[in-house]
Amino acid sequence: MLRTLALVATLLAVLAGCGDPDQKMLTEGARAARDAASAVGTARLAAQSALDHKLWNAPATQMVSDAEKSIGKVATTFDALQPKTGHSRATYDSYSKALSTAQDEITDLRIALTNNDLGTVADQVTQLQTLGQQLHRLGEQAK
Amino acid sequence: MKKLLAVTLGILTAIGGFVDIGDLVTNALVGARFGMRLAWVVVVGVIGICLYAEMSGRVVAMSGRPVFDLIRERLGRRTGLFALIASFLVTLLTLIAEIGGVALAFELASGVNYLLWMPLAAIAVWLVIWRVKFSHLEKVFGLLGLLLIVFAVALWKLGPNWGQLAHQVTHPVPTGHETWLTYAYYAIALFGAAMTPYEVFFFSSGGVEEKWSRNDLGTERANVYLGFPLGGLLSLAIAGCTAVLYLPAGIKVETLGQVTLPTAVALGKLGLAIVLVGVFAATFGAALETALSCGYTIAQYFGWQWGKFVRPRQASRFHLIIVICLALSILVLLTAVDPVKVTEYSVVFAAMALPLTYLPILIIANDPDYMGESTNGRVLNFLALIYLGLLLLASIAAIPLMIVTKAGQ
Amino acid sequence: MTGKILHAQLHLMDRQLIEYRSGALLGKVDDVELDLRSEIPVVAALISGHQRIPAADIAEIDSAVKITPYQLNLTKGDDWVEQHLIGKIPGAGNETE
Repeated sequence: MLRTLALVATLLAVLAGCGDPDQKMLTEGARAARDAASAVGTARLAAQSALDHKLWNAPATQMVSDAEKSIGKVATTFDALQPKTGHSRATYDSYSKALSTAQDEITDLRIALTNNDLGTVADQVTQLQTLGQQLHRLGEQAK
Repeated sequence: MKKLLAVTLGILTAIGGFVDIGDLVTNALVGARFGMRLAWVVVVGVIGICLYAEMSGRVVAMSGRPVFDLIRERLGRRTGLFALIASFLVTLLTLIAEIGGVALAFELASGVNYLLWMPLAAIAVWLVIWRVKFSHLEKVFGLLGLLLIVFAVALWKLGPNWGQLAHQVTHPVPTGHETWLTYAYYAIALFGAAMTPYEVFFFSSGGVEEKWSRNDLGTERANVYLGFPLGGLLSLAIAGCTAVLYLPAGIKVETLGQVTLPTAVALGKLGLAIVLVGVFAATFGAALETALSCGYTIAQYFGWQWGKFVRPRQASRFHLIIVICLALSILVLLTAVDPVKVTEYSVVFAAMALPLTYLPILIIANDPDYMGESTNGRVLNFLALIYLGLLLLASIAAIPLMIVTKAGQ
Repeated sequence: MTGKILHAQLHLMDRQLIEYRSGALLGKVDDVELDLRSEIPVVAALISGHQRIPAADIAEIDSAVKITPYQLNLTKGDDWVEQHLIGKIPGAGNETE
């Protein structure tokens, strides 16, 4: 009986370890950052191709708008998480901020592309380049 | 000379017809996530579909009976019905994905939402089935599908580090954030994409539509043994493009736009235009094949008149099934479900359903009652049995892996 | 009858029924009725759906069962769909091009 109890206690401890809220938040944040980096990369590649006259406007806008939808979903899912500790709150805030910045930049790109405002498109492409690298680093914070 | 032309045409058609929305999406997706580390699965899948299609083609040529007719004969009414339901549902799901693919190709080209294109695509599929001769529809879309070779040109133009790609091929293990579970899940998806069951229902029914006999066996084998492997190379080129462009950038493939973007990056507007026509032909051709296959499977199980070799009114139930399936496809797609997601699921379910139709064909291909002297040889049977094992393994592992990986996440 | 020995389960059950002359597909053999009065049981009739096809109608058995049904209509289902639905669509009676 005692032995069973000990086993259950150990199991619970292990499970609790897996469910460490700080680690969990970091894992979810990193996953979201990687998905966001994917959307940012796609939008940048499509916009750059349009600037290089390798893509006509309809597909370029379509691809950027798809990326916008995709990052929108990622951000909404992540924002719905519930931080349980002060530490996980800090993680939550920093990832949430990065996601929403990326989302805004892609939206700006889509608007510029639709208006055929190539100067802004070029600026946004540079912005997204930096953002992509930043998201990539955030994505590598956890497995 | 005429014979040579017919054989060449058949092979070209088989290459173009090999790739459909499942191959496009799955290969692009896997290339972006795993590079060429799953390339071996495409090879295994192509050998598998060659075995399966050659056996079915031979069975048709020798007995004059298509696959699903014989499946009920071998499995009996009850087990046959189970095989029918599983195969039919997978084929219907594939049809939905193909029509979604046609609509997405038009959306990319025009910028007009795919939901508006989708009913038009479904109606066009029906019209072609209703009015166009079997041999024409197979040839036209198969040959247009050859335009997808532009993926191979794009890969070459992207100037990849070939040594690195080769390294990925020879190191078939998951890296980065991927685990063995996601690796195995996508291995099954790729396998299912290469060996989609409808290909064999269509191929074998096509044999009856075009009245194959013993004399056509050579042509049939050339189509299968040359056409499918070359189609498999196309699949690898698609994976290669995304492996070069997306894997280092951490881009995951979620849309048809992302599947086609590498050709624009490599070859510009012309490249994209060609690939869009190719994608349209491949998905529209496959939509025709899956819609017909929905009719073939049900009508052949119940023994109803089927086929395009008779006038539509003579095969009225067969045509009714096709109309209902197309209407169902429109309804499902109208729920705004993502056609790319439907595709991802359809290839995994395809892998699950395969043993149910593969086993009876293997049994019949060994039955001298049907085959005369053209039963399977020893080497062929040895290979076919290995594949039976592989198919069973993939079929059993598919659902647990889908649950554990949350469909590959 | 030719008196050919066939395995009813393997050679008759679930086989395709074909009209001997036209090649029209008529259904499947759902069951086999045996005549047990003689020493060796012989096939008396084939059952397809609710229809009973007497053995005398069987013309040939190979990979399918070819029959000449004199007084039977085995395509009621197809006929109904043809009359009420498919036959009403323009082009239903045309060869494809």
